[in-house]
Amino acid sequence: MTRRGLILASLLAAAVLLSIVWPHLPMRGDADPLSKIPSGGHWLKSHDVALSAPEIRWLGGAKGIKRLFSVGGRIWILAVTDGSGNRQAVHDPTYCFIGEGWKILSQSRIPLAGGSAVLVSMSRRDESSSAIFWFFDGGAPFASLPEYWTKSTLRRITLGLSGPEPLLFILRPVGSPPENWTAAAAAAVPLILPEPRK
Amino acid sequence: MSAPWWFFGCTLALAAVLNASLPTAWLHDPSNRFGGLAMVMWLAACLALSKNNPAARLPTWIFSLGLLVLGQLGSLQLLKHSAMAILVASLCPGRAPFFLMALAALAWTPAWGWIFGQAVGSPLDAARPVLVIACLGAAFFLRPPLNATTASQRLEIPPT
Repeated sequence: MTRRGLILASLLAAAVLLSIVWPHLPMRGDADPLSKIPSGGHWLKSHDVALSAPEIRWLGGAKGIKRLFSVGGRIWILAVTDGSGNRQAVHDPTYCFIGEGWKILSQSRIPLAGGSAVLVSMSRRDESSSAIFWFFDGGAPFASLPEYWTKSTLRRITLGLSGPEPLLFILRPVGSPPENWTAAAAAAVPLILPEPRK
Repeated sequence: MSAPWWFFGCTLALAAVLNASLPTAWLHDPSNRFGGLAMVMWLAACLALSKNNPAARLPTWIFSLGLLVLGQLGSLQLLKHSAMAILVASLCPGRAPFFLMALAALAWTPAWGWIFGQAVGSPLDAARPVLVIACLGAAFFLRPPLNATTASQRLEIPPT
């Protein structure tokens, strides 16, 4: 084999080896960030809802929780996904809404706890609803999926040195949606965000 | 120096293995119903353009391998899909057909399709096969002519 052939064969062997080994290497950081999400308090009453079989199947190796809670006389349903074990389980939440039969009417950014979230308005037959989603890694909440891709990819490439895994939060009201989402989210979201993680 | 086609073959095989979840992505993405069809059309278009005269681009193949590994380490399908798209499109002779067919991979890569949809405000959906056809048409028009050596080899004309 020529020198060039040897170099190319070595590149291929290194690529195959890294592809197999790297995903199994231990990563720095919190092993169970979902447990840091507050489940009760003076203003917060909540209880967990069991995930359905399709939801568990879709999560694969990822972890998720679904929680009902009440704040300010309104009942909310919160879904949080930690894609540490399966990053592909975290995707644009509008896919899930479309899968549930909703038609997406509009998407816009709203301010949220020093960052931003995406407000999704949707309709299904004669009912209408809305939801907000955002990502959170201990800093300001952010709404950009490419930012999530960048952070979660860097985390895997650096084996956790670049920072914690961002969690995906989806918040939906039970019943009619609030007229002023920004004010409603400002009241509810600070109570459910976990403490900054290391 | 002859092109190391074995390297291309091995990189393509690795790309196929690491992108094995693509059909699942097509099935679960409501705006990607035509992703599978678009990929079949795209593969056929790349093979048709490179038939008899495939381009050997070793630096591009090495770049694709690097992208593939980076995508696997970072668990980012976008990079793995891009690597496969660049690798296969690199077979197309001529710079313009190469870039056009790499661009046409928008039609079957879920993440690029999503980014495109966000940018233009509407998902690609049924326009995916149309995108492949449009890029193939432009690439066919812009492909370089076969050089005399290749043509004579193809027609089995002995050199004089």
